[in-house]
Amino acid sequence: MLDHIIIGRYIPGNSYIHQMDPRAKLNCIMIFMVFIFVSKHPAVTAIAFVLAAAAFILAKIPFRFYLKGMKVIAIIIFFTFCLHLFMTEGGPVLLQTPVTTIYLGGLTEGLIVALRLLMLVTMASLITLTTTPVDLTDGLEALLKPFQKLGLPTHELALMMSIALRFIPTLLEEAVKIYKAQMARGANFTEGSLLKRIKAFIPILVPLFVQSFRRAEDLATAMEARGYEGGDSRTKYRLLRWKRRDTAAVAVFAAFAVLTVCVRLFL
Amino acid sequence: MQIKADNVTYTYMRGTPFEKNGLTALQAEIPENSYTAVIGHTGSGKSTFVQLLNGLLKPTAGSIQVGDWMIASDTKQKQLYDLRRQVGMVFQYPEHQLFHETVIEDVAYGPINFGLSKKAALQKAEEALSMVGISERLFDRSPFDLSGGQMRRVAIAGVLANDPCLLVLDEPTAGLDPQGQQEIMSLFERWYQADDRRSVVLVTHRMEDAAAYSDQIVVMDHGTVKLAGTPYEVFSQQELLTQSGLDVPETVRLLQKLAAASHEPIDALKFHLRETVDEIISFLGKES
Ligand SMILES: Nc1ncnc2c1ncn2[C@@H]1O[C@H](COP(=O)(O)OP(=O)(O)O)[C@@H](O)[C@H]1O
Ligand SMILES: [Mg+2]
Repeated sequence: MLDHIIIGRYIPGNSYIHQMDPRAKLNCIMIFMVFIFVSKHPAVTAIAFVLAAAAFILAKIPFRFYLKGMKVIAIIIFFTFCLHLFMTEGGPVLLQTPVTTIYLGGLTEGLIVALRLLMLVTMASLITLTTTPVDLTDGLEALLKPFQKLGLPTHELALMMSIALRFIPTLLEEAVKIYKAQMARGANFTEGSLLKRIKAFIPILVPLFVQSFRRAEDLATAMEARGYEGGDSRTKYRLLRWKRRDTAAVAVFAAFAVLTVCVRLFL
Repeated sequence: MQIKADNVTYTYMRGTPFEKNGLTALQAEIPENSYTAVIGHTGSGKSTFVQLLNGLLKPTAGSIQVGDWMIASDTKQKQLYDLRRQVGMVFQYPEHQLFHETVIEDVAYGPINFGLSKKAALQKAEEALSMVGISERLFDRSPFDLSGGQMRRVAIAGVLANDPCLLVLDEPTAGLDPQGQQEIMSLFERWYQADDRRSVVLVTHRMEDAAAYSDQIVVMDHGTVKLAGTPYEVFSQQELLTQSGLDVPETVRLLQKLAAASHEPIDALKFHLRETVDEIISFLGKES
């Protein structure tokens, strides 16, 4: 049931994207996420789409796997699309019914918003799909370094993030186990009123919380027992290395950023 | 309930890069009203197999018959609801499924789900709790305040309260101390003996338990059944067991060592302590 969740999952591989420096990947993503909102021009959306598609193809993620993982997100995207389609007024009328009127503006607005959402989710998934949690943490920590001077506990933040990522699959596994155990005791998650169905999840959520707290405590004890201490005195076994491909990728996304600003200012 | 698995294949994470076969063309038959042990190395597919028995997993290919139910890849969840009332399932670390505010309500969760009135369900819960040896003064306590062993008992009571006719146990004694293991195992034995329409399928990696309690043994290896039969038949195939990374029970090993050291013919296939002691005494008698 939860086999196809792709958030937080790493797929081993050797693609162009896999081999990129995590700092480069994070930079690209951040640029993409910020500048895609600068302009609503169809050309910008189209170019962003080309970038996202290229990144996806270069990452060599099995397409069928990706599609299945997107199922739940597709529902959200479709809902957003409909919302914009029916709510936006402007441009020539496409369809007139007694209930609603659909304008061309609504259609384009809906398409652009849906595409944006799809691209954002895809790009964000690409990061975890192609980066090991360790690399991701190192990358985050490196990027947050400048904020350390302001008193931000960057190492601890990065560690927290990586622990969270590390435990997503564990939690899912645990959830499936408890789900099965309650199913075996006659739990029914698919019938009855909405309230009844929501209530049916309590027997899953309570044990899941209890387990998570216990796990967190165990982890803290284990780390303390081994004298874990973050901060500057801690050295790294694996060092990040920035290569030419990283510069190239960041350059492409920087160009995209410049382009969006130009479109916004001059078109 | 009679169980018949016909060419069952189960694939985990189908359609993902992590695809993996849990079972491969498994063929198995378990007679009615029997106590069957499923043994095998870690990852041999034991847990996957037993989850098919109440439709928690459905075969990717092939079909499995459990009592009157036929489960194949296209069986609907709705049809499995009645099956789940008949098949009780105790998972590894069952105490992880506790959630209610009080012990008694947690145990009554299953009976209520299966359509009993609140009053009848609480009645069932009381019976089940007294069967597993939880005293009445704990009924209104939070299950999270109990000791590990007590929590396990409450969780088991939550399964027994449904009055299943097939009880599936997936390593039910994992993580308990030897005495706790013994107590839980004899609890299941008592449950099994109390009614001759009851069946048990026990997944275990303790050969001693398989030998002492079961009348049928299924040996699994790499997602298929490697060997099946009575404990006597199975444990006399020591070579096949070793190939699957398994051993014979301690009692058998002891008598084998005695036979090897003394060069006397000794029947090593004794599975109960009593029989083993008798065998040793008769050996000592011959000696003197
Ligand atoms: N949720 C799962 N996802 C992917 N593979 C699994 C999952 N559960 C079990 N497997 C795989 O299926 C095989 C059989 O596992 P399992 O039935 O749990 O064996 P056992 O209970 O005998 O240790 C193993 O190789 C295991 O790695
Ligand atoms: Mg198992």
